[in-house]
Amino acid sequence: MHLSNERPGDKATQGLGAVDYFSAFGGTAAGHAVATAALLGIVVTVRWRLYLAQSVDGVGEGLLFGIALLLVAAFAGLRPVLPSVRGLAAGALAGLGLVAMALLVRWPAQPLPLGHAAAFVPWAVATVTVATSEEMVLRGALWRWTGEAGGDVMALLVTSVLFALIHVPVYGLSVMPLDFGVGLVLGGLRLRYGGPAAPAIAHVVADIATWWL
Amino acid sequence: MARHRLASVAIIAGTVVAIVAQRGAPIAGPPLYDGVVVVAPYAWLSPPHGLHSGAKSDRETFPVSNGGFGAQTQEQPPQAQVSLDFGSLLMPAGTKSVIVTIRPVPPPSVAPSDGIVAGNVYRIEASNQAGEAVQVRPGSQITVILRGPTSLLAAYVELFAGGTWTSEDTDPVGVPDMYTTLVGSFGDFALVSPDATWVPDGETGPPPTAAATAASAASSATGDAAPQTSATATDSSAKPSDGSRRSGPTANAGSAHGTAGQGSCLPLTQIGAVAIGLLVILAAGFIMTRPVRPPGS
Repeated sequence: MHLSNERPGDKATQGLGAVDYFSAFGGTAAGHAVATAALLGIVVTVRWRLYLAQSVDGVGEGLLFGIALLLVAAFAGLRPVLPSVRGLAAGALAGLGLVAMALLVRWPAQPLPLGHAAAFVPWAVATVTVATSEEMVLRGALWRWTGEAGGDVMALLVTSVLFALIHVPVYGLSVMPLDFGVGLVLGGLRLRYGGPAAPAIAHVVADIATWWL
Repeated sequence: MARHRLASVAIIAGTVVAIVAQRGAPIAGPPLYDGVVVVAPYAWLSPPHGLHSGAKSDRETFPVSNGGFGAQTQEQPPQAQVSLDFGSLLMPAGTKSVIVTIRPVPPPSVAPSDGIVAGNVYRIEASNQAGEAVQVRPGSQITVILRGPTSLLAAYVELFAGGTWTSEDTDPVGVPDMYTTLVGSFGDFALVSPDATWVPDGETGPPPTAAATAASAASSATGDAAPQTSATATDSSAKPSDGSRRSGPTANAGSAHGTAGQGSCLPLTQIGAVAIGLLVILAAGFIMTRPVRPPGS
């Protein structure tokens, strides 16, 4: 079942906390999408401030960011959908494909050595939390509302642009083309498999791979 | 079926965009620039009061081949890195291996005209097995990546050569306070903050004296990680300079930064910001979950 086929106001399709969301933000799917994007912007801004100040380490910053995004997704009406085995497998393959692409395209240049100042397990927990929560918001809740407001193409473009934008504060403008492209790939997975699980798996695999790159 | 077709188009188009973007990127970064990166405190060659010393060097030997290679200092993340390939080098005849060294050196006596040096100055050099200088081939470029101290909002990589600082086109890497550039030579590199009032977070006193800087440099030069090579094309003086970093008011002294010793106070400001952010989210959630009142009731 595709979330963007659901009808606004249909209680059977509402996620956590979405009972009165339309009336609170103009009563439209578009208003709901704008409000969700605004919440996303607030969380990204707070994370940026933490990043600049380095008042918490990277693992703590990631966990806080991820938890905040999960709250946004829950309150914005994300409705969990049981992922299919095919979707999960496709997501894993897509993640590996993104990693392989990055390595092959830059061959023979070596990847940037970042070093590790944390144990793998807490780092991986934070990384998985961030990647999954970003997908829950972007290709979960936000996709739902933009899809209802403007269709699949609108959802694909809006979520891909926002995916690129949320990385700009930390990674700079130069990251926008790459993350927009990756956003399209993740959006394609969302379209093909009907929920945020497949893009989340792809996102997690690609991020976890950075430990070894 | 239309949705599956759109999905295929999105995946193919996204892959093409990502390939083009990666190909044009200044560095071979992580695939998504999206991992959670853990950052250790910045290590200074001559630390300001309250900050850490222990800046490290690196020396790597690479047999000549067709591939790429690189070197990086031993902090986490590395504070200075260079990435290059053999095709971009002008090597003396008979070169069988290339030795790449990176080491922190005292800042030159000349300060940049467009800002202040933020962090250490790193000398990046290359030589062959006989100690003969290896240069960057004219028209070729190598990648230099420098990490600066905490709170560096903006910075440029600058090259000091011939008695002057030259600003290079610089991009953020995606790791806090880390920047990269493509340059056409080895030499002395540093991050330069365009903000003339910038001071590193956690600094609690005046800048180190010239004697302290020289002593730190001497200590580093005799350390096991400090290589001694002859290949340099720069004109860096060993004389330290007050222009390398302004002490300024101790505005950040006791401020909310607790990154592993870069400050001892609780990060109350940031905790407050996070708390406010979460409260906003909770409030929004409360608004969203209000019971629906039917129109006209």
